[in-house]
Amino acid sequence: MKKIVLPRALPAKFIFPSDPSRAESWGRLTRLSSQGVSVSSLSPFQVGLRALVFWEMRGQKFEIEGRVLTNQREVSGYFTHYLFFIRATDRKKLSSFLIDFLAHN
Amino acid sequence: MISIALLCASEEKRREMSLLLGEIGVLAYGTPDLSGLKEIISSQKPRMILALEEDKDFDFLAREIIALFPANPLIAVLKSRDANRAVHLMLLGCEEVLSLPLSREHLRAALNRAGKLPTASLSLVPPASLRGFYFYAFFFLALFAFGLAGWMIHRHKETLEAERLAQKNSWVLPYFYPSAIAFDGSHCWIADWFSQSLYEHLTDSWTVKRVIHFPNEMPVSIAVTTNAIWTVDASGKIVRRLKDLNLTPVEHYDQVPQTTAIAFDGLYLWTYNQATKRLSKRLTNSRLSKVASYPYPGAQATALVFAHNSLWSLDAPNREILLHDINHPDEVISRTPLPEYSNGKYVPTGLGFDGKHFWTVGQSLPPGSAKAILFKHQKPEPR
Repeated sequence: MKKIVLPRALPAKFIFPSDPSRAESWGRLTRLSSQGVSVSSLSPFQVGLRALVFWEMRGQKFEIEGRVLTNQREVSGYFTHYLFFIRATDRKKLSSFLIDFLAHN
Repeated sequence: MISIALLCASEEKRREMSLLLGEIGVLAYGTPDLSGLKEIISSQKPRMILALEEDKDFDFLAREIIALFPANPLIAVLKSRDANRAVHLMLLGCEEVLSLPLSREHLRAALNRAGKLPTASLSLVPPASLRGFYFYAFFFLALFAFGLAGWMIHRHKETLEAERLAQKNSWVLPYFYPSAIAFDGSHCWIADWFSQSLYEHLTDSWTVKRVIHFPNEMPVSIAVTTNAIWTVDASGKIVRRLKDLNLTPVEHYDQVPQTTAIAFDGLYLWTYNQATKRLSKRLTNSRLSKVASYPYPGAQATALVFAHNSLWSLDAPNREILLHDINHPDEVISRTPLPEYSNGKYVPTGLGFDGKHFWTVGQSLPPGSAKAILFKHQKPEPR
């Protein structure tokens, strides 16, 4: 399976619809697939939390809802999370974008 | 010690931030403007730049810093928490964006990672760590499924076994303490010692056709002949009865005490003495004169029966049917085990023969815990 590594992790914004009291947050996407995304951020996200992930790639804006499956504190002090994209339609849409992106890079 | 350049126009905030940075072991060179920053970078060579957003032109300032000092990672500090702005600044080229008030943990983590920004990998398959998650999830699901399947197969086997026992070869009787069984053509007699009664069953449905109560006797063995029924009382007394409606007693025989099993071969009456463990062949005269006597070759005979001109006995302690040599009944021709009793729930107490099959009645263990059971057995082949 083809894989592309970008030199800088992608900046992203997070909104938590399941926890309105929680402020918006930001971080960087380190591994992105059609199924989900690994996020590195300074603030921890609880496992099970739903989060809307906003990011931009090649001028295209994405807004996909994911659920936090893992929450791991790194030695550096950052937190690494894996978010699984909840909706099949989102995964399909992202998959077609990634196929196109991987084919042209 | 890590050294950084601190760009902050307000002197008070600069001092506050320098103190905070000092607390986490960072040496900060503060400057209010870009020209000061150029000096610090050229003279002190700090590893990174921390810039505080103070006015609306911060975007312009950030762009300029990134263009002028590409080797020095820029960490921006927002006046207030704003995710959109943070993402915007990161897209401009800031390595990390923090917001006031600063926490030591965030500051330390951001400074630790500055210059070591992670990459982003894009692929169509999920990351390796999640493949591990899927693997374990699948493994445990598979384990659970196997366990469930095993349990269901086990249950199914048990049910089949129970059905096999319940449907084909066994019947539950409506009383608890059977002691003997005997066949008379299409009818079957079963004695129950506790209720002191003889039950006549129809052999097609095994329903009770008639019950005859013996107020003074406790029947332990029965033998049926063409015109009479012989019963043995628990005291060892033998009674010969007419085959009328009430099984009227015709004669009582007290001469053979300790008898527990009886059989009639058409000419002689065979008895078993529990105390001496001997089989006796007797005439049917008024004294039941003994013709011959033989030691019993098994553990304990609970019932005797004649079938196909041979003497058979039920050896209850060993759960076996014994075929005796008719000329030398102390010798055994064959021993047939009774696997129906191997589970230990019942003990066989009576043996009968209907012309085709052997039948046994079983009393539950411990006695009275369950209703009596009737088993049909195949005729054992002599070996």
